[in-house]
Amino acid sequence: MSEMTLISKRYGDLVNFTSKVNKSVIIIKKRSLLAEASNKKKYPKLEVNEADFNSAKESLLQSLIDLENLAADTEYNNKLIGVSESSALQNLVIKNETDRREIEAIVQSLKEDKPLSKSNFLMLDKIISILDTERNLLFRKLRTARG
Amino acid sequence: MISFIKGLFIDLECRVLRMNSQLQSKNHHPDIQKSFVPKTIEYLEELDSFLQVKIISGDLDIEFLANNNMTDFNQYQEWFKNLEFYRFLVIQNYKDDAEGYLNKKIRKIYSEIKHLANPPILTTISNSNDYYWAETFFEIIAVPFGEEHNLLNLADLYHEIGHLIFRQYPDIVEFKLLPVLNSYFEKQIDLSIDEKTNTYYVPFFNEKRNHWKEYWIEEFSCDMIATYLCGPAFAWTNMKMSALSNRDKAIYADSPSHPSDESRMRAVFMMLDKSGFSSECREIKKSWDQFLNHINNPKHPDYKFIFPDDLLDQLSTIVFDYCKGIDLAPYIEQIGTHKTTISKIINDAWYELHNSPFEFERRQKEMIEEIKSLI
Repeated sequence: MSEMTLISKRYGDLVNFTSKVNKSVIIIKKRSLLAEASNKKKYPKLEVNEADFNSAKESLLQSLIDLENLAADTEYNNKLIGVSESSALQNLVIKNETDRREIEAIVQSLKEDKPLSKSNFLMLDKIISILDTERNLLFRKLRTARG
Repeated sequence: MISFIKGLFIDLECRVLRMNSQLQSKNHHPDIQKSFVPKTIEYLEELDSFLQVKIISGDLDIEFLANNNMTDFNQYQEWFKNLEFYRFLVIQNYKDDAEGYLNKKIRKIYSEIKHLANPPILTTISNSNDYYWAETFFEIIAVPFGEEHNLLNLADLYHEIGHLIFRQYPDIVEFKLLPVLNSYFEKQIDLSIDEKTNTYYVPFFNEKRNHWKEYWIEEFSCDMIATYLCGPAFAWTNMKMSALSNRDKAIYADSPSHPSDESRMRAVFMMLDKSGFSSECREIKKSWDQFLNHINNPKHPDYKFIFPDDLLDQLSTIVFDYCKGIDLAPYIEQIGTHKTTISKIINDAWYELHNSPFEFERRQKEMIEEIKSLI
């Protein structure tokens, strides 16, 4: 079955992880838009219930903690193999001090129930973009790794 | 930007609906009409429901969510491409003389090996380079285009079937081997600490142990299941594949997903021996040893630590008991129960190749006709 099994597993990991992070960020972003009354007029369908918001916060918090833990713990890597083998993400959470501090700030805000700032959202978008690219790379590899 | 992203979603939904409509608009081959086509339609409808939710949610009108919407779109687009490749193309390419024949053959194999699960769909959407591969989620095994005219690679079909069997009961083998595996690597790590070589060896052993756990146990197990089911022919087919690896001087090389060809051959020999084919095992091993000597591939000094005989031997015992435990019929039982089996014909094909190579093409055609008469 060649490389296919390996890549397929990493791809599956990344699909689930990216989807989880993205879904949570969408809900939290929508909630932040609702803080301005004008947005409710601008986007009539915009609404987020309390349960969905709390679950999104918890899920995002766990995902960010997972990312932070990738730095040192090899057993942790096994659980998130597709994510852990992303060099771009490794650079983000391990090597780039500014980005790492920004992630820590988001984690802190989520823990303390504080609203996220514009720069927090930019950082989350950056993480999602990296995950999206990495997932797509694996998808392409999957197509050339059969055999 | 907003209208562009929304347009992408709507265009993708059109494609999904069109594919669905194409599948529903005609009758397909009976082999796939009953289950494979309806399941594909179900997958398409599921994807369509996700797209519809997204389109009517209002999220696509929010510029602040543009990045997130594109991420969702990319994921749905990949899901669509998977359905197109692993299901839709398989359906569209289904021909009676190739797929029809191959699927009758795999159904007969399942009956001969006494495996009670539903066989996967065989498709010829692969090629000689990509060779045989299984996509367990989409329940297909792909073989090279034109493979219905060949017999010598067919033993590898049993390896792919091995993956499907292994995925049904993955914990049984791992539960028994993991303590042995951990104990072996812990011992090696302790030795490296005593010898003060641990800076290099601890990461090395941990990496190899992880590869064993994640992929190699399954890969070795599938080779062993194939040997149990198809007998000596699998050893010859595996040797053929290893000979092809020799182009890269890679007989002793491992990868995260695959153990080395050399260790896989040893594993196959151990299972062949356990399955009652000692003399055949000796004969093939003699050829293999000559082959190894002749090609003289480079071997890393630490190679001996990665695939020790003792681990492979214990795994072969576990897999042998596993196959017995789930009542799979070994090759020897198949040929005792049935007048002619697919596995026997594959073994005969290898015999013909060795003994009458210039008659092989004619004999292969006759043997394929024989299979057709059996199914």
